[in-house]
Amino acid sequence: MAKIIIDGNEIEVPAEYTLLQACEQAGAEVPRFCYHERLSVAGNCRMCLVEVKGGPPKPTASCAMAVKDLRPGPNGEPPVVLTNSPMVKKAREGVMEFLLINHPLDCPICDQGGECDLQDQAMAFGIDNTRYAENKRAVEDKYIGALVKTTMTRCIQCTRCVRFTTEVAGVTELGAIGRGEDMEITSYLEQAMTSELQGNVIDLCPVGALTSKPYEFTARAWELTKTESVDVMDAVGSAIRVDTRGREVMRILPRLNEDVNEEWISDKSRFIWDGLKTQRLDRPYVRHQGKLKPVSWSEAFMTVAAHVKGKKGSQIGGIIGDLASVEEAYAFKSLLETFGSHNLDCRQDGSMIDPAWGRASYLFNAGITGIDHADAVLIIGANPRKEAAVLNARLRKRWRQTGLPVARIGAPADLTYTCTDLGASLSVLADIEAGKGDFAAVLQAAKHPLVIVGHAALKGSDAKAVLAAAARLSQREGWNGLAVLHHAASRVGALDLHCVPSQGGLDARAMSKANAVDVLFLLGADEIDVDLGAFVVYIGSHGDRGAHRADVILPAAAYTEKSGLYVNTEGRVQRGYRASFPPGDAREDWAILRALSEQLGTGHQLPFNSLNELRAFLFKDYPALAELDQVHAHSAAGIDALIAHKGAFAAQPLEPLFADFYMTNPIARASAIMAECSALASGHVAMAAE
Amino acid sequence: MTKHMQRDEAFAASLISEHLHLEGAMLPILHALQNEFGYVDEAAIPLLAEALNISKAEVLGTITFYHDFRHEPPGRTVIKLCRSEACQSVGCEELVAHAKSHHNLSMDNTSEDGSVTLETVYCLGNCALGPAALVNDELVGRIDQKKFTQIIEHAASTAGGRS
Repeated sequence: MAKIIIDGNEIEVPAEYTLLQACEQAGAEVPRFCYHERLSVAGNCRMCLVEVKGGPPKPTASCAMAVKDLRPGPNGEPPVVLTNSPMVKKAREGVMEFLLINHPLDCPICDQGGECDLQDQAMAFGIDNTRYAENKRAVEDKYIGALVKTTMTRCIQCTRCVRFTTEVAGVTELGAIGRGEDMEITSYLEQAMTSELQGNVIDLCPVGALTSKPYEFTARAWELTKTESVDVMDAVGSAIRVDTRGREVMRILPRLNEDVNEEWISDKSRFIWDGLKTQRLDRPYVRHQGKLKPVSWSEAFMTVAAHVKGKKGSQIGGIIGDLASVEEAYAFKSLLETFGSHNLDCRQDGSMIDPAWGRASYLFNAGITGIDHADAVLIIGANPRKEAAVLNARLRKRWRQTGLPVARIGAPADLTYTCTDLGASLSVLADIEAGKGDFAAVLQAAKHPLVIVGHAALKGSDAKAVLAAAARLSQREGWNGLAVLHHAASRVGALDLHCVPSQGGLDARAMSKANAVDVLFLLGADEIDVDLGAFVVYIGSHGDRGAHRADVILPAAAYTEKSGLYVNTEGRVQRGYRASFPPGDAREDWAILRALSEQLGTGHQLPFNSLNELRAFLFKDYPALAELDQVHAHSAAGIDALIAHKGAFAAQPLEPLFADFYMTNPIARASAIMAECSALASGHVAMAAE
Repeated sequence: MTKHMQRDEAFAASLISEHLHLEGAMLPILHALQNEFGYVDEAAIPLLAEALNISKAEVLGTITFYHDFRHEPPGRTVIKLCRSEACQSVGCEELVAHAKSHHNLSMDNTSEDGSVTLETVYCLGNCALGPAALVNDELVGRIDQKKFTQIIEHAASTAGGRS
């Protein structure tokens, strides 16, 4: 720790702090453009100038000077920093004037207007006029993909976007060319960026040079209603803010959550919103002579009631989809229980993971923050870049800091960091356990080994053996590095509710076979093909695979239109909030299930009349779910039996879990933006003529 | 004659590996490429990026940062005409106009027959004897229109003058 006097207040900060960090700690505001906490220091915008006593008689860039580099006074007094002296004021005004020389005065037609760092800081630290009468420079706009719109004349060359893409996202396409006044930011050969995190450069850009292409000219920041919620595109549970105008979702932005997503979100989370407006189911449908006909709610319920009447529990089944909240899953399970049905499954991807093996057997036990302590990582059958892009950025961060050794079993993939490819067959796992191979030694020596298991490795009958081996490899004193990486937002919550077949019930794959059950309820389950035969009741928001197969469609709300709990891959219970309303006659899923239960006759009625009552029942049955935002990291409770389990591994190579990052759920498939990204990613589309 | 990089990728690669042991090898390599080929070809960017383990965008950024690195093959004779203040005050801008009107040569361009490339530099340290220019790396002072015409005519008559 070092002492330092900032604006007359003496404080103590770690010696390696920069002056800017020290000033912040002292409560002094320092304006900045290029400096960002999560990126390397560039020191090129010069906005953060402060006065340092004892140094050279000129302002110092506080972001690039460390506290330990300052000299103490002649009698050993702490160094003195001033952020409000006349010199600093003059320096800031000078820098701001230079920045504005070439910045166009086009705020009225700029999407950044109202949330622009340059605008705000020009107001706070600039002067009211310009002395520059010459022509401003103009810069050609660049094409960098379908998501980020460029207006390069507005660029102030802070290089945050360049540093973000190279450091955090791990793609090296963006760079600066030229020098001085001619400096421009461009992607090499003007290709679309290939990162799943590229949307974050929009937030990082302190001016309007990089803005959201889909959101272009649609709304102003101050006319939007902001709702803080949780993302459901993957199982990370990133914190998001849903911005709405009226009933319409205009955009989705990340929120800060150090323990989960830091301040990034994936492109799927950010740009999914146009999918919320298209392909929506806004009224109930019933299939008449092969064709879906719009009907009233009561007609739809009556049709369902007629079909389930007199059926035994074993003839009825239910599959929970990837986007369902905990409350829906609970209501769904309760409804199926009234039939005495054991055919219930939340694993529509065919994963064999089983909550009976203990809660720690299906969680990312080390926690997402545990990645920051890991010293060796083995990835089994997961592609974190596609299945959890933000989590992958965290792995990359650790790799950049410490050269984290990473090895991977699974279909080849580029994870943006160095990764030893151990082949695609699980049989390698036996060798690693036996201590064969270089990586086995690395893993054995590791104090905090992290073994990430994806669902691609859990689809076979050897799932238990894989998990058991992973658990054995990752246990240390006070550290449980078994990390199951889920890809579906609903999965952990549904597993917590034991939404898996019990007492000989059928699993999802078995239920989807012809004539396995008579009536099949799908709660937003769209990733599974149901064979002809069963009478299918689809409860969901989008006209996707499930709705096409359905005999009765009950229109439900999408994740921005309902309040609900979601449990992320590390077991963190988070609450999403309603930002808008479902379209037309669509209703919230739990309410549909409640209303349907009423129609099914006595004995089937669900006991709750409001979401709060539902939650009261839920928390009574599963008290752990009432602990919002808590993670019991490193608990290995209940998996002793799993650890003791030994089994053989299948030899056939693992397949990737899904082929297309942008098309993993019904909302994404309804989104035109995601379709364009998907086409760009697969290289099928000719480069846009911009 | 100027070699063409496309045909000489192997040679470029050998130049790169020759300098790879140096600390901060990028600039020595770029200089070596420009010395050998007269310019730095786009095709060298992926080679450099691969050899130095940096991104192509970064290599491109470096090449474009230094105006001395050319992106196209130069003419057989390269004239670097100083246009900074001292030379301006003794008439370099008149020379620029003269080159355009009498020789159809514009700044930072190569003549149509490929004999001469006229480039801008800012100060050759020869201010006492301005207007100054480097003609194929040879310093020439007190250039007037007559002397300039002589240089151009000499260049046009030489088949392969560039050293």
